[in-house]
Amino acid sequence: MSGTRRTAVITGMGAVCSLGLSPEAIFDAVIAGANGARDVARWHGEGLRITRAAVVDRDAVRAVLGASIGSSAHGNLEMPWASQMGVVAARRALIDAGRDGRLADTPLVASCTIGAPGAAEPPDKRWVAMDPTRPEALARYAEGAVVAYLAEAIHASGPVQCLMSTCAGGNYAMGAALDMVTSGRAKQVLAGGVEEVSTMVFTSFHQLRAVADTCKPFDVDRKGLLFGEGAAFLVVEDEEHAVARGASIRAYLLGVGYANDAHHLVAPDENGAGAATAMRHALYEAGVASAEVGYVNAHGTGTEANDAAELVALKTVFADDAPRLAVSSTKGATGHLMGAAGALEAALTTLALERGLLPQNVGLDTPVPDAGVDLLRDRPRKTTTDIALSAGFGFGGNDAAIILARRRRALPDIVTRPVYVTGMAALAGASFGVPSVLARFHTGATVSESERRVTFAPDAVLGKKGLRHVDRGAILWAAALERDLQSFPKVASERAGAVFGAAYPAYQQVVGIMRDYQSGGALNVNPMRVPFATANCAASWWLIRRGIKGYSNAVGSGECAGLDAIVTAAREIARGRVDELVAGGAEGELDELWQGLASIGWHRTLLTEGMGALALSSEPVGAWARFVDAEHAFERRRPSAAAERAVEGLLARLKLPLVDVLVTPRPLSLEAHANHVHVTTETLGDALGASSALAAVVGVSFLQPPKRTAAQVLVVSDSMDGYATAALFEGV
Amino acid sequence: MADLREQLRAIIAEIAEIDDLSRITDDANLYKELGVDSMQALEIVLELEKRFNVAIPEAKLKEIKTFGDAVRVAKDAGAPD
Repeated sequence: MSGTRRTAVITGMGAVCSLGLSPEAIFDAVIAGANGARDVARWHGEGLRITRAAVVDRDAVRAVLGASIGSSAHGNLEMPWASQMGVVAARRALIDAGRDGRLADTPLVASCTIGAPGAAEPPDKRWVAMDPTRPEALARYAEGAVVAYLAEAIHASGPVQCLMSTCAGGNYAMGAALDMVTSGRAKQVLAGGVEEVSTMVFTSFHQLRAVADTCKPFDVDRKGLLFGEGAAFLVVEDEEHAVARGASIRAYLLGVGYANDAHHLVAPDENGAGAATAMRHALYEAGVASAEVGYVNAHGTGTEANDAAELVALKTVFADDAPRLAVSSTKGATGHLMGAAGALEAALTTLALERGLLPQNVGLDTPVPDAGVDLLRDRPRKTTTDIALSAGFGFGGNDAAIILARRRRALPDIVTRPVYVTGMAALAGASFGVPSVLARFHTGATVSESERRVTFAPDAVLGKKGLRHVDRGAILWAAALERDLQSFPKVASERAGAVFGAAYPAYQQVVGIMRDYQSGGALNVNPMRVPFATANCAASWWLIRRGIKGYSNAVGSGECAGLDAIVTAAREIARGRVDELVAGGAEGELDELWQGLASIGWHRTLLTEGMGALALSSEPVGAWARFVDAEHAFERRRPSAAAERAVEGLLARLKLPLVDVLVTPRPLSLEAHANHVHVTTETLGDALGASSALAAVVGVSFLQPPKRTAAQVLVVSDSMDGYATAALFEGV
Repeated sequence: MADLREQLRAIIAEIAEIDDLSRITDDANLYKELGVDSMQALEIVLELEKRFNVAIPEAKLKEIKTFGDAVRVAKDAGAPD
């Protein structure tokens, strides 16, 4: 089915980084050639070769922010630093769009790929007393918590989503907002990212020999990336809506393109294949010919590998037009904002088009000899170009590019397709595989201590090699898929992918990094932990094993993450960018995490290991169910009320008085909305972000012939941080 | 204590998951023949630095192509032979 696409525009922008507290101030600093790197005094005396990063002036942010206390399941605590920067940028974007600083029921999509390690690092001290598993650290540390603090502070009550698609995450957030607007699901969306510099992550990257004290994008003498922090948000709005309310249109967001390298967890494909595919897809979706693009805001991290691969990709995509293509990376000035980079660069690219002035590559002295594109040097360049591309490529091989334009233009129609459930995978503690998990659920017996962990040997399922340093969540994810979804995908690998969800992604490695530090200082941190300390590592590792190159994304919306990943995947297939996705969540064992969470007391049953996933497809072959629709809501202090709102909103939109079966991980008062309610954690245990995906597996099993016991199933999850998701499936 | 060459061979075998140690000859190219990737190479260097309490300068890393190169660079850095 194809339909006329609604047009997405940008009507407001806010940003914070080392160079300023607004996009305009940052842009002015960039074109003046400023470099945000500062010496970080607290890193002295650690034996580190480099102690510089593009950090933000905390006093300046606090002067704008005022009070910075927010609520959590552990009580009222100061917001993580990343959230504080996020609030300043988000409020500025809303005000710039002509609203007050409150979000209300407008959707929020925020990328954060590191979380808030600073919540576990005592201020002004080194890490000696730091404990990432203290409840007050746990309540603030994870990516989902960072976004929840931000959402609460700007009074969010509608859909809130946390994306963790590494350094391309800002572009994934822009893409999610684009889809909400072009499909008509939202009139306005606040999209962007936040990220903070922490001792822990800086030290890890330092040990990986990936950081430099100056970023020199595309220079023969480039030595690594400049660590940066900050936040950026953009209001993405339906054009008609913007015009009707007299808003000023800053730019048109024409398209997004994605790909997955399936090459290496921390190195790009040398041929830039994934990067090139993402850029091509973005151009295609925008209906823009490569010759029409007048500026590329490159990912340009200043690392040996990224810049080389990115230039190959640009030459591949732009071919004969490449030599006249103006290219710059703004990371030489701003530093690399990781999960916030794509959003900041979207804002800077919007300003470049608006002002007709292209930023130079700050830090570039001697361009690589065979660059093949027009690398902007020394000073900004005036331009009359209307169309720009902004690129983001992340760890794990996440690639995403967006197209921005100064003026409106006719856009190709979009397709919307049905999305079918064609398979599932699961493990719940000692129950391995879908039949075993479903049988365990139907016993109705309460989960016991002896069932908390998986009992199989990972190497018996995954082979003996290549398992060193692999995060436990990634092991569970891959093992269950290996067991239950051997034949995935049925389509070409370029049309398939995965969406991974977790509340505490890669926490085993994160805690490992902290323990390394505590036992022997910064130089004792084992950099081999880094690939498996990244939030998306489970999906990326499995996609590399399988050679699947179409799409990869990661979602961190607390305990909703697994279900939210399924919804995200369904929307992506419906939109036609990919044909088959595996989506769900996995959380591995970590005693310290379990103990810390138990002392918070929000989870009412035993915490367990778990993994749940659905295989979703645009083709009905082998399918027994269909994804119908979903709704999200957010309420920090009363997650159950958010869940109720999500259910009521979804059923009202679908004009359903009630459903046959409702499945939820934890007890919620939703009996009025269904004939039968099933709670999954009582029997399967609570596997945090995977619990909502396990609920989805149980839910769609009720639709499976020959014993189909329901026509429709509603899967609902709340979360400790206030996220809620409701998704409806029906039998086919 | 086994000599430097044997210790380094064992480090590489463990990190790159090579079962047959006889494949790790002086002329064997770490990357092309033994399948060491860039992360494993970094891990090998870090393990070597830690085990022998030496520092391998950044510039020297690029000189390492074969197992023999790795032994030589370790010796030059002061690892006891």
